[in-house]
Amino acid sequence: MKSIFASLSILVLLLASGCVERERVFRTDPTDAAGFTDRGWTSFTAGDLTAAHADFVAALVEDPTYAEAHLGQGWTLLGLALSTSAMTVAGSSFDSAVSNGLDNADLRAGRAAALLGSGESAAAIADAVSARTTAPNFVFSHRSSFGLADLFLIESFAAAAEGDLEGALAAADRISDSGIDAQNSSSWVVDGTGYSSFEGATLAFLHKMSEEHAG
Amino acid sequence: MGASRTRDPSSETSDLGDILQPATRTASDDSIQGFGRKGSTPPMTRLLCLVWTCVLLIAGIHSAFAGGSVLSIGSGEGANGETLGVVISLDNDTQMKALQFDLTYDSGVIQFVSGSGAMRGANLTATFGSSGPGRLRTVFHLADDSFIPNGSGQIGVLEFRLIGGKNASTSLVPTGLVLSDPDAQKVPLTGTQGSILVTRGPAAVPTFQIVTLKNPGRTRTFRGFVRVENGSGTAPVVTVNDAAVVPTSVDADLYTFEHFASADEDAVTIFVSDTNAEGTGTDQRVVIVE
Repeated sequence: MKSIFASLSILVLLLASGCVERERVFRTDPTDAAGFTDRGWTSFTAGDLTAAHADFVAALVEDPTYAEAHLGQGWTLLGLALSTSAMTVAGSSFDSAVSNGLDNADLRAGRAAALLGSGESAAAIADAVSARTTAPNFVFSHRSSFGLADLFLIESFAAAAEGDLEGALAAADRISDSGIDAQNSSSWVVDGTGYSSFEGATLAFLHKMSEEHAG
Repeated sequence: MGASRTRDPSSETSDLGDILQPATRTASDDSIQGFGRKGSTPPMTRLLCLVWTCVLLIAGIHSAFAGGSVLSIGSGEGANGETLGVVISLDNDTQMKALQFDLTYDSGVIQFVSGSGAMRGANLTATFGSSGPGRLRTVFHLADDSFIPNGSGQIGVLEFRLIGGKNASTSLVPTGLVLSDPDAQKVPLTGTQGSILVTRGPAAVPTFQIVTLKNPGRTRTFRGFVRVENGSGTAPVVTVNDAAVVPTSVDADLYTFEHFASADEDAVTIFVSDTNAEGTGTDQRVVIVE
């Protein structure tokens, strides 16, 4: 009876030991900034911005100078922004990435969108132009649906926000030629609907581009 | 008030020749005709003639630059659909028998209705013709032996219907100016232009165009634009999902605002309204956000 009890005890201990070992083998929590950042991008691509943001924050706790984590934080804050000031905060994360040595089309594109959201139109246009100049066939590394057309939309919408509808149309025409001519009223037509002014036709076309291409 | 009739001139040349018979005029001046005859004039007389000629020349030059008549086209403003009278004024330093000018304007803004002599020119007969859109040939003349004496002030009125939209404007530019005196002699005449401004569009309630431009980096955020026609002149009332927003003015008829849709919003309803003298106009757009 004692031997049976001893054998069972040893078995329980072995099983317990094995369980602990198994848990130790399969745990995937990152241990450094790069690891947290990689997992953050995985969550971002899957559309889980909250989880992504938590990982980018964790990465920056590990290494506040890790530029790629600032970039990820910028994109997640952009996606979570619910106010103009939140857009400004997102922009600050992109700025931090730059100040830590990162500057690429992904960063410029994200900051352009944040600047558009915070109402800084001229800076948004500058970053969008910079992004597509750096990467003429731009596609965001972590969201393939965001590409060159979105950069033209940012340029266009920023110009529109400033009342520069001719500039807005010029940028939108880079995505798809509207055929609208400010001097020719017969060209003020979008999807078969005629407009009484260049302004009206241009706004209708920008709306169409937004619905078809944004994001 | 003089009679008014219209005609269709076929040429750009003066129509006054059809109206006035040029008078024979034989200006002579013995003192000038005699100047220069060899051996027939004493030296002192020749000197006096020379001085007199200089005086006449100086007087003529002074008259040419300081004198001359001025035709002024008046200005005005009004709402689309109204008829506006434009005052025609003449500051003439010689007696006037007839006046002709071509008035050019934007035919998309105003439409000529009629015209007539008035005030100083109440007895003038008015004749109108058009050589093309936005070009009105106007002839004022006195059919009898009378004339309009030297003076200044209104001589006629031209009536135009305002057909342009709100803030449309046009200049009224007189060209081809011809002023004749009772002897059918052309008198120097300059013109000053006028203008017309349409202050209000066609009578109708406000209408809207609502446009949303999504932020490509966060498509749940969009900038809305509201374009207003026949508006009250102030920003329209805008609500987004029943919450009032304050749009900012981009230009006189275009307003904008920004909206950040939260994660639990699937659709955003934008409602706009504005009220003018004709009534209240409303419109709405539902934006799907994802």
